[in-house]
Amino acid sequence: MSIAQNVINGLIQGSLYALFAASFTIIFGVMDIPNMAHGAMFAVGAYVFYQVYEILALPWFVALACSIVVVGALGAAIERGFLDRLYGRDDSEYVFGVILVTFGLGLIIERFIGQFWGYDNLVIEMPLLQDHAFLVAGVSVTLAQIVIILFGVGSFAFLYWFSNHTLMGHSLRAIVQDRELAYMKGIDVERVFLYTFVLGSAMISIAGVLYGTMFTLSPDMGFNLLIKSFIIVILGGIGSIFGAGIAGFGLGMYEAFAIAYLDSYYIFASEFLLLIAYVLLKSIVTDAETPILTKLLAYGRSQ
Amino acid sequence: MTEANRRNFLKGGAAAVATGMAGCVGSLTGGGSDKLKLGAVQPLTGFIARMGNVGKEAQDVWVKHVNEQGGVEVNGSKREVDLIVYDDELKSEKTRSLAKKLATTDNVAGIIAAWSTSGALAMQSVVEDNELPTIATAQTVKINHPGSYMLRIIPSTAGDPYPLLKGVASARDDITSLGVLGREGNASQDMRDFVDYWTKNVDTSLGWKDLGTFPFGQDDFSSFISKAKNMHANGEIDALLMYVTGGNAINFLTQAERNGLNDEMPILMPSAMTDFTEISKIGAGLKNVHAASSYRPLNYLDNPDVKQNVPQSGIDALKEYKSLGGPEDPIGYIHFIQARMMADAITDAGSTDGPAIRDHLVGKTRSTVVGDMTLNDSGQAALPSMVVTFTTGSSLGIDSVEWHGTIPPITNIPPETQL
Amino acid sequence: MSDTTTATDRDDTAVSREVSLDWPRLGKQTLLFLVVGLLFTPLVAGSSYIGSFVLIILVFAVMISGFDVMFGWANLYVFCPATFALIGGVTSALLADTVGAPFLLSMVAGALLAALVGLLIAVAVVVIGTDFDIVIATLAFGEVMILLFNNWEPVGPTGIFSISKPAIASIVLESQTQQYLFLLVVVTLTILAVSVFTSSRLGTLVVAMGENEALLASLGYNPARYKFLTIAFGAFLLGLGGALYAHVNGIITPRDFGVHQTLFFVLILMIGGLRSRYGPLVGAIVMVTLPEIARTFGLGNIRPYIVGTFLIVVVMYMPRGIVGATPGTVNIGSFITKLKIWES
Repeated sequence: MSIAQNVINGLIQGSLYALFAASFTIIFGVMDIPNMAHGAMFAVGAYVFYQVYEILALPWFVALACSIVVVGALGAAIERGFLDRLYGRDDSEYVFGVILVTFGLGLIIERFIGQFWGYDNLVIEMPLLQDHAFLVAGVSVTLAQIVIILFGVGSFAFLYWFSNHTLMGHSLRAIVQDRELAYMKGIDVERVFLYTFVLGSAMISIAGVLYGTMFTLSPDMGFNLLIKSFIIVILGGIGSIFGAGIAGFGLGMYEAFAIAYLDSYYIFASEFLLLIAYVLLKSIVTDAETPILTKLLAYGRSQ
Repeated sequence: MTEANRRNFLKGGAAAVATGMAGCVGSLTGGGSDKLKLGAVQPLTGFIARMGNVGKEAQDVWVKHVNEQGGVEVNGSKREVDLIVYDDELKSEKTRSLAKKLATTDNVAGIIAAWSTSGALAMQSVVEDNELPTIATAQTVKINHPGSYMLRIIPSTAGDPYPLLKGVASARDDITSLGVLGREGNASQDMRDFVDYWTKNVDTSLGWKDLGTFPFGQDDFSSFISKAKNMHANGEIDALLMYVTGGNAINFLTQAERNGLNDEMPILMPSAMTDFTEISKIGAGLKNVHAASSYRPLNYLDNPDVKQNVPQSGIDALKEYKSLGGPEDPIGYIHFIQARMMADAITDAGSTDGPAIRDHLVGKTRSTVVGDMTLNDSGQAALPSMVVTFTTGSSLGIDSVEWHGTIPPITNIPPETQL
Repeated sequence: MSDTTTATDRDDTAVSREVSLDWPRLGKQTLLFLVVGLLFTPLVAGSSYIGSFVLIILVFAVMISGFDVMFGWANLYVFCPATFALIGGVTSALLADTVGAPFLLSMVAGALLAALVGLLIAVAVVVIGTDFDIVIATLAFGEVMILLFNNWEPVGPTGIFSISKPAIASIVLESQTQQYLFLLVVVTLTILAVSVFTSSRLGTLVVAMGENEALLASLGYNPARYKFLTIAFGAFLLGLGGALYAHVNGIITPRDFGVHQTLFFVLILMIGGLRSRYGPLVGAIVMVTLPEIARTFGLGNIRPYIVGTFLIVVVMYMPRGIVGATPGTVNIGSFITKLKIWES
């Protein structure tokens, strides 16, 4: 089997992951918000586009704008209405609280989508993107896939630029490093968090629209990608945008090659094992001052 | 009963058919004072909510129609039907406790809808303990045994690929090795086991290769498609047998076609895909797809090849169904038949006693929209089926009927019935 | 300094009462619980439907008591409780049905195997250290286990079905009422075990470890040891609950014990209250009966809205649950006093 073929497949699959993981990186990787509703917002973006473009038959840029506005507003509402109140809690309660609250929101949103649009698979007809295809190394690559690859790479590049070269990005990094200090330096923490979260929401809505033009829509379409994105952001290193980008495309490559050469049964399990191994190794390596055995056995008075 | 005998039996067609689908004629003043309670467990929310809702709709149509005629005749008097429907959300513990509720608190005479393998397995002990006839749309091979109260009128996971193996893979000389690919889960596992059995015992000139499984949410199949193409180029496989359901089928086939897979080899798909998927959304992806289906062809009766394989009684029954406003969807047909079959058996039995109803469901040939159908003692129907190919382009429809016949009631792997 | 001393002196008598295991009181409470449970028997016997979900409630109460031990009391963010239950259930089902082992033995074997796996997880927890990474690792572990079970012949994606009913020696507990009485005893013993554990010196140390590990270590105790014990004990109960689930429900499917189930456990615990021995039971009662009640009013398909809203409301406004204790109740002053008393 040609390497080139696998690389192309990996690029296609990886770009789908990158598409989703980019916005998740800024929200989870940088802002430390494990937003379990990210998948639902992804779906909302796709469904709003479907409604405006397919049902109301308006031009695609109108539909896209609607998606961005709706999901952006949703993001703002979530951030202001719920997440804001959780920021004050101490570390583990915060993470844990966010996971539960956003999971609950995700459930509600997903159910609503199912009730409103039904659970049947919907299709967005976009001949421009879907029907024009090129043969690259024997693999058919549609215009839609190319757009997604470009968007996947582009969104990471954008985030990198945003984080390192804009005022807001700098403020964000300052806040994440030391919130108290950031406050004292006069940074409007609330505003920065809100804007960044809305930015992440806008990005995921575009991701949803692009994904919807390539595949069918269903209320739970974002769930798998959300799980994969967790893996991607962690393996890429929390806080590292570049790392997440590499990890996203890397995971896609890994799967493409693995499916070609191995029994697919264990591929997906191996990704989770990789995650466990990574977390374990990270602790062993970073906490080298307290060797494991000491942690496990020593310390005087064990009664 | 050997398969040959069964075929004659069906061909004869004159077998003892009860009221059939012509509808019952009854006096409007009839009807018992207490209602005839029937139960249904549908997944109205969750992954297959669309299917659950279509099934419910079809049965609601039936109930309305039957009640307008005064009800179901039981032992001389007519009783209105009260259909109690519960949403099990596709969770097996819910299915179980809801089955209990229907069996004991609500005291229904029969259950006319239940889904999913784990749901059926969960409710099995309740159904058997209470001797409650249940017609389910769960394909697992594990609920069948002689004397079972769990019955079904769709093929089992083993019966599903049968038409494709018999009518296509084994029938064509140009197919010597099947590549098998499926979505994770017991259905594709059973399909693999059955294909393995088939290639080792029924047609040893046919071989097969395992292409693997993909998880539930997989939407992009480029890697799997490349793998299939490569195996074809190596001469390892010359056809693809694929288990996939719902939206995945749409995604897989459109991607496959774009990558030229359909041009290279026939793609065989069992009824689980065709009966439960919206074919109109697949379009060009249907090129060189060979689909086995019992119920889907009813949507294409304008094709003369299809029409000639559906008995006139079935065509009339379908007309009647449509006039009642039933959803034009195979799931709708299936659920309508399930409801009607249960009612007819109750009428024949003249009572709501479980074992008596079962005696009139099992072993009796009933005339339905797809033709004559008989349930065997393990609760499995011998189902008429066709393998069809499609026309693509502007007029999407069925091109030709490649094979038609009856799927034997395969309820186990290795099968206990003649193939 | 003098303030602390005075506080300690004042607390002494109160604390010493807590610290020694008040067996008479505990015994009375256990008996009371058992009696109240027995009063509900006619309800179970009267309706097969109500009986079936009451049994599920009791099974969940056992499982979540185990989860509370590691999560609520010891603050260990082990996010794979459902996996321990699955292991216990699968082991018990296979032993009872393939090997023909007696039910009680299978059940305990399942619980022990779960506890063993718990020890492995505990080692990982100790090595990892940070809460967040533990969540990730244990979640990933849960997924791996499901995928492994799905591909393992004796279980497979369908799971194990037609599992034999619970039995005591040769007496099979056929009826729901019999199973109810048996489960009632098991739940009572579970709550008793948890009470003993948490009121004992061991339990106090565990809680202290959860509250302030560094301080505990500085006093010369090894936190790792207590993590092992807690997780093993919690996993044992979860495995026990899982075995009960398998035999009472008749079927156990790997997919049913994934992330969704773990989050359901978390929700039950939060609603019922962390660090409370009746919390798991209360939470289970609420979360299992609520959808059933909604269903009777014809509101069947609004369940995701109920669960979602509950999750949000509980986290935002009742972080410690309905019945739960407030965090930080074990303040260091009284803790040191307790220690002194134990030592003397």
